Amino acid sequence: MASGRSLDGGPAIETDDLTKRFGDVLAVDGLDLSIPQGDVYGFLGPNGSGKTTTMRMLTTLTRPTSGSARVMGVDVTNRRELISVVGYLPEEPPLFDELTAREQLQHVAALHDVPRDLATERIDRYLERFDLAAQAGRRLEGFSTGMRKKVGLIATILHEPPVIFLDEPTSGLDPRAARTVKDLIAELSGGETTVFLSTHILSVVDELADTVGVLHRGRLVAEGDPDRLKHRAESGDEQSLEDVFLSVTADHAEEADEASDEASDEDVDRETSEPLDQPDSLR
Amino acid sequence: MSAGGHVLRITRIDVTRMVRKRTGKRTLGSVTGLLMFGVLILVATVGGAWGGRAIGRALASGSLEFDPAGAASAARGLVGVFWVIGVAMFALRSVGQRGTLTNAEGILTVVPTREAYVGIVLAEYVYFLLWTLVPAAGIGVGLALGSDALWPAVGLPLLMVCGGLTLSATGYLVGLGIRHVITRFPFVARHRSGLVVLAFVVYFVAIFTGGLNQVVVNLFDPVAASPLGWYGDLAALGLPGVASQATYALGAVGVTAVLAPLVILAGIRVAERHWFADPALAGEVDSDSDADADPSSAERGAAGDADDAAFHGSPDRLGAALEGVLSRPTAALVTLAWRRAIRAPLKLLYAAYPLLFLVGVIADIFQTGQVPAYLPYGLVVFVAWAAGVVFTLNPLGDQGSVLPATVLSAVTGHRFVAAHVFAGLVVAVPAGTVLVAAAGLLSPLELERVALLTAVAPVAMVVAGTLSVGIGTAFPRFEATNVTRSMEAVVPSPWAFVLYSLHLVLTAAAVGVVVEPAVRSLAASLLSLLLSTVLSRFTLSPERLYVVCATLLVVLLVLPPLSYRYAVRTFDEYVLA
Repeated sequence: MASGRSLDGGPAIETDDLTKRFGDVLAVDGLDLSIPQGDVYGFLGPNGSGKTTTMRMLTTLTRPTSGSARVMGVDVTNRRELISVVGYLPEEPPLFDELTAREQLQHVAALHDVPRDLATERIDRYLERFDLAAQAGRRLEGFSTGMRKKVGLIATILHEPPVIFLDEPTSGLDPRAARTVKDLIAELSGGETTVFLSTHILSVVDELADTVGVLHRGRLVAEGDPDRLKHRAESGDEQSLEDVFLSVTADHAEEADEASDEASDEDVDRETSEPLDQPDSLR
Repeated sequence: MSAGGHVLRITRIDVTRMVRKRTGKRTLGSVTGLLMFGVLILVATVGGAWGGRAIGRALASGSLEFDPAGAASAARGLVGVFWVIGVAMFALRSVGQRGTLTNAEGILTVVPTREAYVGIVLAEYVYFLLWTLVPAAGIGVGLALGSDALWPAVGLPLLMVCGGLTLSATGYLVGLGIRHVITRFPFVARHRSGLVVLAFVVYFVAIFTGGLNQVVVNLFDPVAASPLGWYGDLAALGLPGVASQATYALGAVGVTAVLAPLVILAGIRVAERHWFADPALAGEVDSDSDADADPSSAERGAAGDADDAAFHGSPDRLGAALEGVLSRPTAALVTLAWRRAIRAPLKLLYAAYPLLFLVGVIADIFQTGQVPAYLPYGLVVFVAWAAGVVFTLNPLGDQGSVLPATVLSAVTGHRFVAAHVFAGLVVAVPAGTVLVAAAGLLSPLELERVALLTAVAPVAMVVAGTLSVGIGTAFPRFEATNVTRSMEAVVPSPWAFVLYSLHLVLTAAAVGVVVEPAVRSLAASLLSLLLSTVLSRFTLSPERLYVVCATLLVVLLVLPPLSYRYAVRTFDEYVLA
């Protein structure tokens, strides 16, 4: 369904030393990403690790402090160009409670200038697929968390962007609805849509992601395809993606604390980090 | 922990939360609120003590000649009427937010409903005493000092302690009952907005026509004759020249001892129904609870929406019509603004607040049947002000959590700003122009002047709309605030309100000075008088004032287009942090 510009196989998302500071707080620290078109990129990290800030920078909603990023070749400082190639679903779906589900989707389609007939066809199709057709005439204020999430997801993909950013798309969904979302993500990536997926539900990433990146304290501390990450973990005592996640985030929590202590006494040579601390070693 | 311990804990937590809410943030609004509270209490206490001493002295010296029995009856009627008004105020609080338990699941699954209920009622009682006890003590001490009678120093605070308990308990019960009807009966719940608007209209008509005064007058004698009037004896006992009776005063304590438990018991029964009843409309629930927990809410919501659709027609028809003259994204934003306003009209109630200043004028018009000549001038300023606040004084904040989605769409700054200005003006210009013309025709103004004002009104509204959108974008507000005690809405920020209103008032004043020689002379005289207190021998001639105002007017009229451009640019470059 991807309908954006062609990049002749170049990366869909590319960041170079992307950094964001909020005053003294370093939210994202020199992030380097290169995500091929059509991939599902599972973006993991503890709470407050900088995942949402990263997605906001990649969708122009937050300006980077330094570094650069491009989505489908469009610089993230160029909002007018970028909006046609991205769709973004925040953790809390952006909906107007006073509208019905159908009105909300018609509104979003109109904002994206999707022709009326095409919009109606897509809305009907997705409402049917997500079992929302019967409730489409109800106001959103009466919708459950899961129903709101589904409406938000439909609104995100209505204009069929080549890259979509999803923040916790399956949280609050019942198993059947979560299955529908996962199937949709798989279908989208099969159709060359790139999906940047931030979630805490590791099984979703394990099932869908072509590549997994773990962000901790603003730094990319591990990256690779899920099987390789798990295989590497299996060489030690670890066996699952959850173990990998716990391991790399715990290691880095300790390392960061130690580095903080050492920095007060002497300069720290970053090259001396353990192999697991280096994302490249896992690629 | 005992039942009493639970009750006191719930009360303490409620009061602590309220205090922290008021004092926790060092914002302009909270600091001003605290300052106002302190000043009001201080003024009421000191002023009350001073006034009480003067009245006490007058009563003691006999310079105030009353029939003692009549004075006692007046005290009973006065205190009784205030009790009824207090009940109405606390009922209003209860209909609004106070009728809902915050974190209801966390309380009602832990303690019995009766303990939760009594805890909340006691919290209401504490809030009543916070406002009244110290001023009552001030007035009582003043009366005691002036009259050389000791009792009022004790009696007035005791009145607040006893009367306040029955007042807050009764008010909460009445409000909870009304709230139950409003939110749990499907028919009433579906038409809630209309009913609330109707109640407001009835209330204002009652004020304008003097009907409310008549109601109060009619209440006076019955409450004076009822046991509620005995609270008056509690307050006035021992005052010279007032035939208050000790038995009635004692009776007031007895009334409290009987009425308060009865009212609280009745309230517990209502709470047991209300707090566990399903809301009548999906989405009208008090918390952000998951509607999945209540399958029937879906059916009820569907019923409500069917009714809504029948009223508003096909949701797409309006958008399709607008797309004939506007771009599709712009038309979508205009439709959205109107649809949200129609479905939640009370959220725009703040636009009518300036009408409160006109209560006296409108009451005069109702009673005399004559429209004063200055009213059409005032209405031009009001309609211009209203045209700028409804859709354009907080366009970013109105989008709320949807703003990122709007920013990441095909909507440009030009489209976004134009849509909001258009949405406001299409409604305001016809309505405002007709209002000004009608007031002008009914006033003693000459027809030429009426025609001029009618022509100026739409221009003023367009200028106001283009000005307010920039100010609202520069000072957005995203968090909700109370527009009534029962409804929260995202309203424009105080800074936006102040700057926008200031610009409008300055513009109106400058136009008045430039256009009207009489206004110019009067303003020059007033300003000379005012400024001479600071700068000795300062005089401002009408001619000099004309030049100043003409220059100011040019600057003021340049600002709206700049403001519009600023709004466009801000939306185009908007980021979340």
